[in-house]
Amino acid sequence: MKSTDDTFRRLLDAAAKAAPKASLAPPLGLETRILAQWRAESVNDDSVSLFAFLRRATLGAGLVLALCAAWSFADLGGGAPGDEAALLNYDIQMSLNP
Amino acid sequence: MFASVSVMPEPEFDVTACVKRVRLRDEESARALFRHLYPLVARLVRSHLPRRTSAEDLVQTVFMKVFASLDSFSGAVPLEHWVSRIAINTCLNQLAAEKARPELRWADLSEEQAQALEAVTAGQAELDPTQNLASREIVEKLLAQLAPTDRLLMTLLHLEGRSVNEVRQITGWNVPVIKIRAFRARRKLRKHFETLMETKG
Repeated sequence: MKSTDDTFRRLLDAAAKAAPKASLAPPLGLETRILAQWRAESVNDDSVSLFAFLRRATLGAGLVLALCAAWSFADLGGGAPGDEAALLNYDIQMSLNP
Repeated sequence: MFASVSVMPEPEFDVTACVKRVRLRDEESARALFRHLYPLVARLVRSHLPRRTSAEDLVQTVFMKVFASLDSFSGAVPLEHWVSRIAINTCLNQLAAEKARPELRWADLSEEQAQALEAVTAGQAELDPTQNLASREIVEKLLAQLAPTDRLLMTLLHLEGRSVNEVRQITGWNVPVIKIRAFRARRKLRKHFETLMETKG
């Protein structure tokens, strides 16, 4: 058991000495590919944000339109209680005028 | 008589300023950041490379993730640690998609690998570089039989010689978790090693 432990430890030590050395220079074309993809993502990001702005603007405009419509209908549906008397008064005055 | 040659020291790379410029879509800064981080990412990817993926493809994936999430980098930890974590997680995800390798037997070893293992078993004090390389290949084959997290821990601790604290910074796991997982992973790896030794004719 002890010898297996020792052998296992020595194997790990030997393996550690042969650590793969990554080269400092990236392979040809990798940098260009990554930067091109990054640029493309940036363009996509801009179009996504423009689309989001337009969507928000449309929703806002729709909301304002709906509020205006609701306000107009409210005005048409219920007049003040004294409106009928005022109209009659106006009719009488008009008929009395020469 | 030799004239003394004064060498201009290379200006230190300002990571924070560079990240700021990359966020503003400055391409030269993105290039500089890529060149600064490439050795780190390449080393991590090569150490934890899944079998069926090329290192270059994985490096590209890691960099795309780094650039895509650069806006979320708060600066609370050094950029290198943050990038290491992205690289390690990308490798782990890729490894998780792969099935564990079948059991390694003595007959699966190449001649160089068998000789290196003989030398290790004989207790040879110092192995030559070829034998060290063969030992590394054997250990990588044994590691391929482990779960991705176990493999990662064994690589970081035993092959790269990192401290538990460094592993904590790279993986984000806490120290007790790392120690327990590392202990279990080592035990499993040793078991696979015993199986390999048992198959020796």
